[in-house]
Amino acid sequence: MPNKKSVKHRSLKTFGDITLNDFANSAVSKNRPKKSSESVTKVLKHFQEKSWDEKPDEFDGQFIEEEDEEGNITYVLRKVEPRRRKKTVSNSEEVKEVSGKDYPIDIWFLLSEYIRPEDVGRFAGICKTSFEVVCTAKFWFRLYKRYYTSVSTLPEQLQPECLVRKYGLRPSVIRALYHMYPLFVNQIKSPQLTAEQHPDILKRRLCECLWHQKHKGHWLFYFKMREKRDNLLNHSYRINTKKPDLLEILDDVSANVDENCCILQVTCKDFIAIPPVLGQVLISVSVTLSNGMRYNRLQLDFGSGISAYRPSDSNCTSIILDPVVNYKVLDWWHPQYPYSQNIQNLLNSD
Amino acid sequence: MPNIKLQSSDGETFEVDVEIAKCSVTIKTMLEDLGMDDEEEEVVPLPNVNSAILRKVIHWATYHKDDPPPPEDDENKEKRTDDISSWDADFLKVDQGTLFELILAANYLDIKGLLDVTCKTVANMIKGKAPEEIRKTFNIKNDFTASEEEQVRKENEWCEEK
Repeated sequence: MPNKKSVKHRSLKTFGDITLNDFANSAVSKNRPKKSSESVTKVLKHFQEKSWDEKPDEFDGQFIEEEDEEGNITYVLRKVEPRRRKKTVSNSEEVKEVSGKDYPIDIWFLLSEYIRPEDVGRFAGICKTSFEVVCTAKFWFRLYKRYYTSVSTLPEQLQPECLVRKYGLRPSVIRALYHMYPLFVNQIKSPQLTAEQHPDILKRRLCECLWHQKHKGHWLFYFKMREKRDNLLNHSYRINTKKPDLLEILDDVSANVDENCCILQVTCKDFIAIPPVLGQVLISVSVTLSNGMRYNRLQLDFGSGISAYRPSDSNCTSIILDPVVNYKVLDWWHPQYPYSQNIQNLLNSD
Repeated sequence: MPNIKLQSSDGETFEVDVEIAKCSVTIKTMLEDLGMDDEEEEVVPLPNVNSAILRKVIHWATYHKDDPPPPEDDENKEKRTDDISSWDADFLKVDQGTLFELILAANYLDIKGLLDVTCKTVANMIKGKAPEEIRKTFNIKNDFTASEEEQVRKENEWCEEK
């Protein structure tokens, strides 16, 4: 006896092609959201309220190269949704290691007093309770006080008198540590670090902001590049679906507009007109020697949508900076990373 | 020397010198607030400390009974973790579970010296180790998913050694 599924399949064969319109307006609906003008309006309104950088990436997926029988290559956008993986995969991820003890938060608070700045990440990564401790204002205030030393380079907004609010406390303390804590200060100075920070690491990042300025006879070009990351852990209100109230926002210790951002700072001898690449993804970077063999030539290829996945695509926008005197990739915690409060300091100090 | 009886969470009673028991600010305050006389045969219940841990705590307090009172904490100073005496280091050569229990007991009994040395020992064991290694050392449950763990690592790139 044929099973139910095959009977159904056969009966469908008697009809002609079903158009998208037929399907959308069908009275019988199964496993699909109800089509109502109200819900469509709601979604549209939701999108209109957000600025371009807050909206989800239209091309939130991967372009897969497909070749047909005639050898024509087409690119198909496949959405990557990690949560819709096979159940067995997600289960194994959720319950990776069930053995072991759960210690009370008091232990982690007591231990946090003895944690060195370079061990903060390790400490936060032990378990969710230790992570919770690292998300508290108390942890960051104490860390700052323990390692505070009066240094002339410490910007005014990172001085103890200014570091009294909870909002954005974590990034401020981290930035302060890069002025005060010898290990971090030496790391920044180390020539090894500058060699490692090749602009190649910025590939796949989105150009969120770019600007230039003239400084001591040279032109400085800045590209603010953001890496897209999911926020799965609850630092504060941010993971909640409800809209936070003002007090919740002001208590956000981890608030950081520069989180996941790097700045590519390129010093050029001459002014170069930069095409608009705002909102585009960096596809490829090449650093070669300039014609005179004295300076560098930096080529940055940006693209959006499908071209972001096809380096050879003619639709991508190329920026050629030549001659380049110097280039730096600055993480958001780097003392030279320009952010709203220190731009003036940086200009004066150079 | 007058003695005092301390009762652990599992019902075992320990008779200790009052002066040694007073290393614990919690017990000291209790005795003062309740006006317990040294001669009284009262039993002090300690419902948060089991007998194995209480025995260790008494051992530590007996050795350190003549120590000067520990200096007040200066929260503006980096805490050193390399100043553990050799006796304390030997005393704390215990399994990791006991070490964590000792921290909790020292915190509950408010014995600053013991709390300090136990926390320093654990902090030293954490130094430079990957979270996975730390969890293994102390038998701590990993309640992160793989993606959450990756997020924590990425968020803390600022303190990764380069």
